[in-house]
Amino acid sequence: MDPGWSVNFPRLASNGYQETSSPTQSYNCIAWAMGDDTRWWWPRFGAPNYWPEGAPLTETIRAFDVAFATEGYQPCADGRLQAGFQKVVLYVNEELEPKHAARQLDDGRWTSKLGPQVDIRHDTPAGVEGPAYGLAYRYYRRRNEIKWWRRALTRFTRARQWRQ
Amino acid sequence: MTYQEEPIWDTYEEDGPVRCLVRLRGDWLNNVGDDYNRTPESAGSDVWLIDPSFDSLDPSALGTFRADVRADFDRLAKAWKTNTQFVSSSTELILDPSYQRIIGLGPEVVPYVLRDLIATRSHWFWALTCLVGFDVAQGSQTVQEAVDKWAVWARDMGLLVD
Repeated sequence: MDPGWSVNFPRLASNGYQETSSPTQSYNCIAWAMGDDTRWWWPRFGAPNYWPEGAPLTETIRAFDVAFATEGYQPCADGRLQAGFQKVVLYVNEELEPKHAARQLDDGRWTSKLGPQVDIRHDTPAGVEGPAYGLAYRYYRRRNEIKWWRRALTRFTRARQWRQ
Repeated sequence: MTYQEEPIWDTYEEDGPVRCLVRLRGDWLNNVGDDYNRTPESAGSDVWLIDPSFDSLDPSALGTFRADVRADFDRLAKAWKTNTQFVSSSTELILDPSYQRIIGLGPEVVPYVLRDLIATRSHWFWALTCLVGFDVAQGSQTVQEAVDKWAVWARDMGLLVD
């Protein structure tokens, strides 16, 4: 592991991780957590920063709450895998300034975009805690609509087949 | 292409000759000389004005690159990329001391910044806006779109270096 990685993410190696992309400057961790790999999300004026309309242009947890809510995410208790829900986690430093976000995958592991670097898959939110991003501070969830509809469709199809 | 909706002609008045940069029928002119008595009314719609406080942006000066500026940029850019290799915060990216020092190198560094921007898509947008005086990429929705706009501008201005 590169020395910069072990300094910034002291728990990453022991938690387990895999690189899942090449480095790119096209999007950042917040965009990636929101499922967007085309933009650079940050509450700052000036191109090419993107921030959802209506969300405060301040680097505060509140601003990120509002931004995440535009994508359907609401705060929740923890990062445990929960059927039918997609979860993200916000990392903040000691001053409670947001620094990073990660998104939970279907298998319960997490995916992070490390600044202008690569995407990684890490086993737990704690994997990228450390000097660079601070601590995993607030979890959010939204109903996984696609899967919910897919399950409903499957149930409907099965019921129809059973009737026939 | 309009960089300034309402020309602020008054601010051009200084002690010496009027210092401004105008784009007249596609040609860049600095220190408009005889034309300094123009008024916004007489200038016509084919003149675009750039913030006069950035009179240091002189395309002819940009042609005289100093070797040490290039070396300074390369060294500082490398330090910036190392310092911010995991940073997603746009604010943190531009507040890094190496990034600030690159802005401090002045307009001569613009061609090197543009070259790196086009090659790596690194976040030089703020630095370029500071150095040039206006945001060429204003309104861009994506990093690629912003890079493309700066690349077109750099080509139009003849600011691309090897």
